[in-house]
Amino acid sequence: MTTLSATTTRPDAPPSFRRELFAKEDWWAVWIGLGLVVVAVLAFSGGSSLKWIAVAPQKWSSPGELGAQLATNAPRYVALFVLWLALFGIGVRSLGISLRQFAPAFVFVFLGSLLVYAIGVWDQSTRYNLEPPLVALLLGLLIANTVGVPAWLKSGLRVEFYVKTGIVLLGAGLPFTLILWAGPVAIVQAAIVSLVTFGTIYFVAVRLGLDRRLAATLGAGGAVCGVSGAIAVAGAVGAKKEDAPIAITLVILWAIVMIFVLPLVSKALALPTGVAGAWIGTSEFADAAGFAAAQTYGGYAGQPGIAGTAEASVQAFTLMKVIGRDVWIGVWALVLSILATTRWERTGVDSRVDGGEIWRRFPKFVIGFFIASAIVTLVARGYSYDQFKKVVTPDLVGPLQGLRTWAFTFCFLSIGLSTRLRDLAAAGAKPFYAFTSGVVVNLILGFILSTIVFADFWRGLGLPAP
Amino acid sequence: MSAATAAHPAAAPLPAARRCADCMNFDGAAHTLEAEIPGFAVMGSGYASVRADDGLCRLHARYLSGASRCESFARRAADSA
Repeated sequence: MTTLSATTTRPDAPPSFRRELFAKEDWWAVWIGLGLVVVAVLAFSGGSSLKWIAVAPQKWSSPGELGAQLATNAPRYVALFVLWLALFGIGVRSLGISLRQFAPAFVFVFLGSLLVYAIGVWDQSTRYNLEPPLVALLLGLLIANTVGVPAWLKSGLRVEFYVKTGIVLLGAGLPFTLILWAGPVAIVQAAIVSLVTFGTIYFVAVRLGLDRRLAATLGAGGAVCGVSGAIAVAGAVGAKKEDAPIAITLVILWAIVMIFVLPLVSKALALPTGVAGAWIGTSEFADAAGFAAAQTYGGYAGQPGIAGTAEASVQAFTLMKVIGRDVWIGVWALVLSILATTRWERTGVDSRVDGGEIWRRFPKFVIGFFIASAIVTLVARGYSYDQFKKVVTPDLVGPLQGLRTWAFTFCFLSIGLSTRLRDLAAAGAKPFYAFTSGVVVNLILGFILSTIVFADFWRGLGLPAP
Repeated sequence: MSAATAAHPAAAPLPAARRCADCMNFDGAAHTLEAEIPGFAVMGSGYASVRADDGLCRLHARYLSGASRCESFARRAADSA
């Protein structure tokens, strides 16, 4: 018999806020990410840095060279592993996941990520297009869909936990002033695309005769925030049990396709990194998949014809996806819940919700992202741009970016390892047509807005503060 | 008419104390949802804030908010003790 989680066993009242602070993955991502930022700031203030522990493989050209490098830095890698295991271990334990199962699985995730990281800095990796996110994804997909992933490994594949922690750390590298400057544009662009994409999927689905609740679940998956959007709206409208898995299947398949397509098309068109990041942020379906695509494109920075910094791709993606789309999921859930209970066919269940729904479903890790940005912006306010590049970037922001890259690599590898295609639910032709119509509209509209309407804006991202 | 399609009086809210989250037919455990909903954990998470307290209703075969209500509410044994 299954046991019920702590969040659902209290009678007569929803889980308290205090309880949620330690019962939800989003909050643990905040505690871990902000904890690292605070420690990094304290070290920086004391004339020290997290550089020692934020170790990563450096460029190499022969296996011997790589081996020597890893051997020299072995104590640092062990310390980094222990740090991540302790942080994520405390988090998953608090969520009710067995630490005994998580720890050995995380050893595999860490070593696999180290391998991916090392491949990414091989001096021939550019020649073979071995961008770390793509390598991690392909390696994971290959293992998961051939030999399979043993049960003991699954508890270590916490895709969302890793990506949320990475996003909080990413906030430390994104000046708060930049968020304030670019946020409104991201919100406008994302709102246009989200509304049109949702409307397209919903309209086509209903015209094809699909249930409105399934249509809304598909629409949210395609227009708002992928699997999270689909699952949140499915719950808010009281969808049939089989509706969410259908939407999830379509989100995952299209998200994986887009991880490869968006960077390759952007590269073929030689889009500046900020512009490509904005397009990826508009047209990818899930945070984890989008970061894989955006980081891949960032890796092309500096190649012939590709203008902009590597960071601009990830920053534009984050502004568009996280601030422009993710944070509005509660509003979508509330509005669709009201429609479902007042306009759509009855189901025998009263699913009415109140305005608190917006906060309950708010992706709380975004709070950590904002706070991390504000902290580092405050610390850096006394420095000129040149001083910032010479002092703050290498000693404070750089190590945090290094830790962020590790968190994202754990995530990318976990996506591949947990995507077993034969385990996904069958979607059916009609949901596929409806969702795909939204994908097509989203791609075209996102491209026009990113590369034409707001092109100058996104191109300027990553340049000295406006 | 099946329970899943039975109409209910929308104008007469059911008691707040009878939330689905407290019903014996409702399962909102994160690990159960991840195990029962294919692909959920690939790019989503049962432990995420956006899920709030949603769960599966075994009676109506629906995925719904723990704050939902219906006339078939049956308090979970541990709660009614």
